[in-house]
Amino acid sequence: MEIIKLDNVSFFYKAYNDDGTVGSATGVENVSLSIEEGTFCALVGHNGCGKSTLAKLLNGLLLPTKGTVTVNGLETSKKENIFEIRKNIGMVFQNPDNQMVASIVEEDVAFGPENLGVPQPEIVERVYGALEQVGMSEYAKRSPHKLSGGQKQRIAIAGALAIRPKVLVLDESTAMLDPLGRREVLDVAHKLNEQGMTVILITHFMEEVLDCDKVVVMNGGHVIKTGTPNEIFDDEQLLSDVGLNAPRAVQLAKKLSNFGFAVTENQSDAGALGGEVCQELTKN
Amino acid sequence: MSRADKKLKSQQTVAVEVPENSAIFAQNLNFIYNPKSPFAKHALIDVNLNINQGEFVAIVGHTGSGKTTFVQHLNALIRLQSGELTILGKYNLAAKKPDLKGLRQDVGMVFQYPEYQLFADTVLDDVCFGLKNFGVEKDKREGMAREALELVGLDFDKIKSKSPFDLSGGEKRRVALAGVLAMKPRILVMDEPTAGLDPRGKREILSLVSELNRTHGVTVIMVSHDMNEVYENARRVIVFRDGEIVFDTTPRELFRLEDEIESMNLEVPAMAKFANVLERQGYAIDENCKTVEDVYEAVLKLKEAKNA
Repeated sequence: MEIIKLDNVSFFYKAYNDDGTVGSATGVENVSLSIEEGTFCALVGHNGCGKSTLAKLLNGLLLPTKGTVTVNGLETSKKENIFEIRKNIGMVFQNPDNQMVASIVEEDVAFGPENLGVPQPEIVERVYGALEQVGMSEYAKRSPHKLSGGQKQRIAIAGALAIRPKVLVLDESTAMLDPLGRREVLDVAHKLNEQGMTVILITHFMEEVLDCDKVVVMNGGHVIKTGTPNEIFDDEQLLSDVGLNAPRAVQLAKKLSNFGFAVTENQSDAGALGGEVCQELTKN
Repeated sequence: MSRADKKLKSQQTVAVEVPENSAIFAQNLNFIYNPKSPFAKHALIDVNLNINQGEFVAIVGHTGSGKTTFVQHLNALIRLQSGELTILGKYNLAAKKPDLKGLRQDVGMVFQYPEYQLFADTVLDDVCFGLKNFGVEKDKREGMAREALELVGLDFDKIKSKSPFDLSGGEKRRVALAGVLAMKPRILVMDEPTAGLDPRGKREILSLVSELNRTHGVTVIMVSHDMNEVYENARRVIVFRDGEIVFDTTPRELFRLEDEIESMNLEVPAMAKFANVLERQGYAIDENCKTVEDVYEAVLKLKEAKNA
């Protein structure tokens, strides 16, 4: 079943020109996209390509200028649906420091369900459940400000999980983290996906795209390609047009494979690729 | 100053001579946050090093390893507690009253997410702010700002009257960098200069920094978490762990030590990992081949040699 469907969606921002007139700037244009429930989907493209606009259209933070966005069968443009839609979509943004609303971790996670009017005993259950899902139970009584970036983002994810969404949107949530923090957040996202959560990962780290089911490439407000990670990495022209690179190991594997080396064409593990090349060198 | 520090200081009766052509010379540098309190944290422990002018050095280490504390010493954002630190052979930071104004002109510091520090109404004002504070005369400022903005690859006439807040992330960062470069620093210290940028923005900033280093002879000190970036750009890597320098070597040497690197929660760059496997099997790849392109060429050479 498709949980998210965009039908010919356009969104234009207001732009204030130097001469004082008001024009418009393209956020996204004529985007059609459908995402099946349970998919781990990556959304990639360079800064300003419309990724974040798309994310904000998903939960009605922005409403389409043209076209329709449907979440779990509900259209975002209908005002009466917004509340239900936001219960279905949990969002986590880039900067971990901007998303903390309380001075104690458990209160921060409880913020969402409190606002939904969930009864108190259930809030407790949801908060501890969510903290356990992200592996942060022991930090429940701590202050979020003393945590590392990766830990803060996991708290932010727990906050989203506490509203029991069907879809988790991570809008460059790993961009400001160190490698360890990034791995923590991705591991949590993949674990949730295995349990059935639909995950939309917005990123420009191509290494993070490797394990996704589906990749959507955006440029200039348009979706220019969707496919599996391998299909995307195969399209070198496309990648260079949008200013992205396949992970280094994959780049090397492709070059060697094109030259005629017997190596796995999409080998993303540089060590394993080295092993394959050694075999090839020894063989001849 | 604790008793131990005093003792340390008194032992250094003979000041070690600063080597010629030195950009940064540190001897027994120690730093303790909140000294003489239950929260005391020994952030730098006996740091000794010499960085020559014109080097491109990466500083790496896990969060909390002391690397930021160290770089903040370099333009005296943190004042020396104990030990010796001499910058460019002329700024002795152990002196009672070092020339901080001169030091801060010669050592340009670019913090993490420098675009968050943009504040003026126009790009020109923002870049000129530092110049003004260092007492550059008004009629000279615009020319210097032009030079700096062009250096970072921006069109001065197009951008000078724009609000810095209307620019893209990559452009903002270059404006912030221009604000530092306008002073023509001889040492450029950068704390994660590419964090948060998209791949294109990263490439732009790194090629700019390499250019400054190569053609303008600026000494570059770059703190980074991206080991691929370190591997491909720096000529020397210094690794901090728990306040101490644990490695100080070339990137190629360092990333041969895969187990040590991983135990410090750092990543081994993909191309280093690849080269390591080949080396262990007896196929040596040229030390200078670090990018995908170069490594590919090196593998082809190995194959040719084999066939010959």
